[in-house]
Amino acid sequence: MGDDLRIQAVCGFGCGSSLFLRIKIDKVLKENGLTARTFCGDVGTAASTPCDVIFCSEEIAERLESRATVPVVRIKNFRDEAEVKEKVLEFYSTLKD
Amino acid sequence: MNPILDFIINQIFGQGAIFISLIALVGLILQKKDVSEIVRGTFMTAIGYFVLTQGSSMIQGAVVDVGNAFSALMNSPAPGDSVDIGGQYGTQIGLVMLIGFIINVIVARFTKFKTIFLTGHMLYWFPYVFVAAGVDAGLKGATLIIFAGLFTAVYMIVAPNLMYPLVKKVTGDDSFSVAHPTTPLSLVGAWIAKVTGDPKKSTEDIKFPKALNFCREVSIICSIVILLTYIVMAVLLGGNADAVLFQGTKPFVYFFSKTMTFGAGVTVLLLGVRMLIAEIVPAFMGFSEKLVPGAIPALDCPTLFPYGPNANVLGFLCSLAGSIVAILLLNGTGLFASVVVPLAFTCFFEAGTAAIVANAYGGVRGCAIASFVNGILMVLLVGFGSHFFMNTINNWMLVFGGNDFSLWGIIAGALARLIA
Repeated sequence: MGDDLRIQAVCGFGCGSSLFLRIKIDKVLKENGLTARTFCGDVGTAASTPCDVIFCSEEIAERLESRATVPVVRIKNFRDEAEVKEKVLEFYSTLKD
Repeated sequence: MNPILDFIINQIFGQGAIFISLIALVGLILQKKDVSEIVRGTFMTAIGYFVLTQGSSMIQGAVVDVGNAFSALMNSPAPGDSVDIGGQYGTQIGLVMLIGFIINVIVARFTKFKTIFLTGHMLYWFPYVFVAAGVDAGLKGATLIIFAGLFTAVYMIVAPNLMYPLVKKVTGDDSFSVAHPTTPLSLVGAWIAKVTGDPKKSTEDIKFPKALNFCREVSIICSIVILLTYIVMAVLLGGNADAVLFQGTKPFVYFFSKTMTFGAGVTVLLLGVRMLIAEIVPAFMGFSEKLVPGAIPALDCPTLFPYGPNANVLGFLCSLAGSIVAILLLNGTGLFASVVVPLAFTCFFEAGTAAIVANAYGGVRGCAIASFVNGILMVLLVGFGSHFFMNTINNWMLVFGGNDFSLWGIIAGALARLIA
């Protein structure tokens, strides 16, 4: 996978809180020597945008999960770096199986 | 002028896309990204700029007939966006963005106001509004840039600091603030809710029907509102509807294409903004983290949504009701320079956030009353704001205004007219 993994951070508008989440994800990836292409999406177009995993808030996840074809990872608090780190690493550990 | 100088000043910096992608380029280099990321990010920023411009003109194309219909009904001259701010003033907007952000960082570094304004699209829209306010009043050149830059800086510092205590009340957390034009609505909402409501009866204790969940799909709601507005206009025009609106097109086809073009325009606009800021905000954020110890990030309003999902929907519905009532009462009075259409976007994001704040201060009743009042307030802001944006971005304001864009736009517009 490596460079080809595409992580989509999603919020209602696709440029406010999702961008913040994307920056946190980037930070976690860098600290752990992982590489992926990260980008933002809005809830309306996220499900049809090609990617390998979606990171978003709980309420967005409820609206996406039925339509998304890739795993949806729920983040309770975008500002909580420990949570973002835990969920990102957890997702990466599922890839190795 | 020297042809080389002319090339640099008028051709390179005359293209907003180039200036803004230069900011992205420097940001990417400062973040030590690899070459392929730097090339990709820089080009995507430039493309995003043109995507944004297209989305903006699609939205205006979809709402412009509402204005024409209104003018025909009121027998007043039709308004038009005669100056394309996003297209013609891109470099100025980029410069204003930089000036505003640098002043914000300096103030956060050396004073007790520690907030850093990080809501990506707002970093673009506030310079856009203040440049428009200046252009509308006749400001030019360096005066325009300094004027809009100072306004942007003051706004970027004042608004998140006003929101800070409200955010703390809602979340019980003092590690962040909100940087969003909801600020006046949230302040009014908090005050009204405190006076009229009871914080013990929270909106989050009531069971909300699942059927109302579609209210969270903003682009759908906004398209429906535009559709209904067109139908109402067509009915009011009666026999004139064909001459003013349809012009030979079948009514159903006309309504359908206007509505869907509007939804498409919103989608394209969001994509453009996202591409435009995707590389700039991370650079800004990295920069401020290094320079300002103890900085408080001021973020987009949906960071509050998890603290009151019911309040958000209740606030949306009550403020939409308030703004429709206000529109029915006020549109015909001649107080406003243009028509005002129901502000679905603002009801969802700005009034929706204010509703979550109001719930924290006054529960269900406080939230409902505050949101209804905010709906009326929004219409007044857009309506009076129209006097200051008729030559520039009034059609954009009809969709996205009714908040700080209008409030600060009115202040900036009035001041610009004094110095112009």
